[in-house]
Amino acid sequence: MRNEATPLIPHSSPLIPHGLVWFGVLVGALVVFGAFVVSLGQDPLAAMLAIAGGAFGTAQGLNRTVARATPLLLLSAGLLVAFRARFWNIGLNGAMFMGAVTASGIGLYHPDGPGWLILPLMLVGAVLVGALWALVPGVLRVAFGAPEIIVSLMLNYVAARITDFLSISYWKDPGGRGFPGTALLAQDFWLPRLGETNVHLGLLFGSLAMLGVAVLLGRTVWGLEISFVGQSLGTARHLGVNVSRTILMVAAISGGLAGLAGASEVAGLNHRLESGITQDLGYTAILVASLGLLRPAGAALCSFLVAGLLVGGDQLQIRFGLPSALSGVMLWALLYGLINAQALSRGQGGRGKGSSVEHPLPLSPFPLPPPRSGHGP
Amino acid sequence: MDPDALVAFLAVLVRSGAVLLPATLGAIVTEKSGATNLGVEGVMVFGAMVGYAVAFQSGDPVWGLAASALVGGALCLTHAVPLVKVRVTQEQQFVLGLILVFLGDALSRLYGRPYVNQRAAAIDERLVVPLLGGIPYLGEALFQQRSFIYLCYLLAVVTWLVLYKTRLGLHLRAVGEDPAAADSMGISVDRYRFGAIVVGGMLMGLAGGVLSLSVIGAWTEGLTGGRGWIALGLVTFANWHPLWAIAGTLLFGGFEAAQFRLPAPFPGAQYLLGVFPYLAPIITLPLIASRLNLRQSGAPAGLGLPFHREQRG
Repeated sequence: MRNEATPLIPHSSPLIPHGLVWFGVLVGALVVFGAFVVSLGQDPLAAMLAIAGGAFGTAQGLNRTVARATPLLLLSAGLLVAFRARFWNIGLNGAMFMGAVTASGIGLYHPDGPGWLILPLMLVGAVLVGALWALVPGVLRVAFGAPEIIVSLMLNYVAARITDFLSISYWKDPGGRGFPGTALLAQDFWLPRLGETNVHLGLLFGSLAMLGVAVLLGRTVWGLEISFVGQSLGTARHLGVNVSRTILMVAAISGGLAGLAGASEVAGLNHRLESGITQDLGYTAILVASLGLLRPAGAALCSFLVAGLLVGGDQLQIRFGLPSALSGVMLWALLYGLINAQALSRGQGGRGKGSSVEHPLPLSPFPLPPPRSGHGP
Repeated sequence: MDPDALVAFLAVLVRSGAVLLPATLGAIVTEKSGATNLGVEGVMVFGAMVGYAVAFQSGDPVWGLAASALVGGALCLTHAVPLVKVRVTQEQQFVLGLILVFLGDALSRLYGRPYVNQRAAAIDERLVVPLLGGIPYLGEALFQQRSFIYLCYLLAVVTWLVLYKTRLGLHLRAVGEDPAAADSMGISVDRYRFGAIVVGGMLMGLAGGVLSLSVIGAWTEGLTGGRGWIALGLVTFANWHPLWAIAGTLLFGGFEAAQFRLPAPFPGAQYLLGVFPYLAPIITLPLIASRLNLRQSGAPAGLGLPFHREQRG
């Protein structure tokens, strides 16, 4: 795992927290979670078992977990690329919405078209539109230095409103009564599924995307250039890297994969466009990527774990009448503990000599570039 | 448009803008100290829920508003400790802010369920300002609001006075601009940043309280609907200045009012009109960002960077 970056860049500090740290973080998160369950008057141990059992214990739960993990794989794969270049694209939710809109639009306007043509068109169209959507913050950053974090964030809401307009009003299923969604797509345009499950071809896309990202970042010159840009803009320029092109490239890759995630939800799972179809997974993916320490293997693993947490959270509602939002508390506690543990173990805190470490290594495996002055979120 | 509709439009504009104002001010105070907090949305939604619950139980909206500010500050304590004591890096600050959104949203759902769609009698009362409220049309639009709305605009002026006219504000801005220099002048960088994050959180929580008690008058899950994120966008739009924040929030309030108070030219138009509040920062950011390079902006130079006293150059 540690060589997956590139041997050209020496690692000066341990990148992966010690096993004990992980254990401590996990225990801490479980304690916090348990405290909340107790405060709501329920048995914490039973609640934890219900989450784990609901997510991974039954065939139906596992089915749902894998289906939920599919878009998370695509989204977090894109984030790894963007974050490696320190391009803070948090607009994946928007790109995912636009991908879903594009895919369902192509499907809805060609109901009689051949499936072998329309379905690939839906997917490719979604990738292109998602990439274009993410290029907006990319271009504004490259051309004007506008902070991408705010631009991409705002675009999330623009995309959500466009989706609302289409699914609730313009493309609304006339036979759908009050349901906020379009009519079902023609069956020829559905992604093939594995038997009777919800597991569809999107899982393959997600796995390939994660694999591709691992190769791109770890084994190619482009990956190296992306790393240089993330490390230091000045150094990257000095080394002859086209910084603007690299930033636009990572923006397009992350947006394209998010668009594909949206299309795969439409074609694989929901088979129609609905208001709120992304389920805010574009934000969740940021937590997934961070929890996976911004590494492909870690992010892949965490996609399934976090998906399980979300799916298992629904069990709390069904079995104990507890709000499924409790899984959000758990997710918070895990990341909160992890970030603090990472920072503390690298000696960022405290007042002792340890805090003068030159590499305040964050979630990103590369040293920080010098601050861009006045760059605010 | 007939005058009555215009008055109603203006009244909604003032009200919708006011909700965003304390949240924007909270983010400005936080960022002026050099810390970032992307968790505005979460703090605001939890403040909205707690404010409503306390008003419901106590029967007094003022207690509700106070409670929403208190829990906002308390929630941001969890943000202040890693930022100031653990000195996490800029990107860790971003992620911490994002998970604060998750936390606030989850907490508001956990403890807010008994109050969902409960109509409380104890929402904020309408307060007609003497004399000014009697002005035809204009008075009706501006000076017959619920009482907390005035408080929001007052807070903007107070924040401006504190930040730019007091020693405290000078120190705070120095800490955000050049922590090393501030430190060598004997200003405690840690203490100012910690305080700014917590006070900023109180303002964000209070914004939630204003939303649930004065504007919506009810609690439902996800009540803020992205207003916290807009507030964050407004900070850059207002160029980190509390008085510009008033102008920004009024503009945004106008977009929101237009969504519901203007006749829709075609079905579903309100969804598309709802896009404008989010587009405005995107359009203005490049302008502000190009000014950033000239160092004329109000953005603190030390924004997001942890301060290590031992490394002071």
